[in-house]
Amino acid sequence: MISSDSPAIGQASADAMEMRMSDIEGGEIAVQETGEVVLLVKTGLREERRVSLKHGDRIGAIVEVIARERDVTVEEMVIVCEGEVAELTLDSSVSPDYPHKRRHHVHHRSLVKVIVFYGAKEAAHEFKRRETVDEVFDWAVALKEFGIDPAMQGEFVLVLHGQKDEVPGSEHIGHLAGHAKELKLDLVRGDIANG
Amino acid sequence: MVQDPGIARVVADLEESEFASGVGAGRWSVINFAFPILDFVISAMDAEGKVSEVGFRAELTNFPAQAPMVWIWDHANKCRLAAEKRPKGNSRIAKAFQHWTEDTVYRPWERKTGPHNNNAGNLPHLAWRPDRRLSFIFQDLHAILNSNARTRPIRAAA
Repeated sequence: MISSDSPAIGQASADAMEMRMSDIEGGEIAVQETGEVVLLVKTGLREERRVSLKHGDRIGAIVEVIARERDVTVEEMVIVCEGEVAELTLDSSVSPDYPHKRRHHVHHRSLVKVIVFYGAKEAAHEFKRRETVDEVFDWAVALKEFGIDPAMQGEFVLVLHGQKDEVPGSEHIGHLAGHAKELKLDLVRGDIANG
Repeated sequence: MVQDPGIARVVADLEESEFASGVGAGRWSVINFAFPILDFVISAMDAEGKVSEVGFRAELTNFPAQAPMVWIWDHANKCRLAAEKRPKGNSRIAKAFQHWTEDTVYRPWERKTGPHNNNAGNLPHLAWRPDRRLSFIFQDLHAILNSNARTRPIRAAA
């Protein structure tokens, strides 16, 4: 049995069901065991949902639900556990030791052409939607065309093209791109407070 | 007894998905929360790939209307981390954890740093706003603490 909440932006928690921090009397957090297993599944930049699973349920059931909603085939989708390189196999099931506290991500299998601008220069490369901003950064700062001194690479950050807000390194390319096939980012010096 | 509404907001921020995701991935963790004090650690990687944890203490009175006040913290000795023990590396790290008059973390979102030299006004995208979540601060600290590790050999484009 699988059930999925409607997207609950900013309210979901990876371990919200099993360990709910609900007792806040006096500002002290108490951990309450409720015994349910819930996966936090991110399906878009501001689209997340909590999916209730029981031991033995297939991970692929999550993909099937989302594929149906998007009117695509299951084969066109991929699900990954945050921090892992390899995609999950759809037949893998939730076991008692499954890392359910780690957020999961569902993406379309298509690639995203990422264009990085650095001053007047630009470079493009195709990335999997499950790859992260950190991986784009590693590619971009090492480009010979950009000529960034390795000793200075740590001073740089990636921001959305034409904007100033730094994009978190753990963010997936697919979530930033949305349904687009292309994503534009600027490689800039990270802002430092003056003083 | 009336409970400070800031407590509920802090707890909500600690349950928020971006925050929980960082905990699950080992990017940060909370050591203790006893309002208005939040003690936490952020994982850091140096240029050689060595991983460590850096301690912090946040004071959250009037949260979220008032910006958090945050110190780099020595949890073992219950005091601010001595300047000579603070993370070193590129200028972003050096500036963020410099020893200065207030000796708080020197980032525009920080309560004392924001008004200092008009940092919040000059860098509004890094300034605190009541609609921001605590994960904003944790992500910023994590990015800076791991910037030392972001050095790669130069190569030609694929």
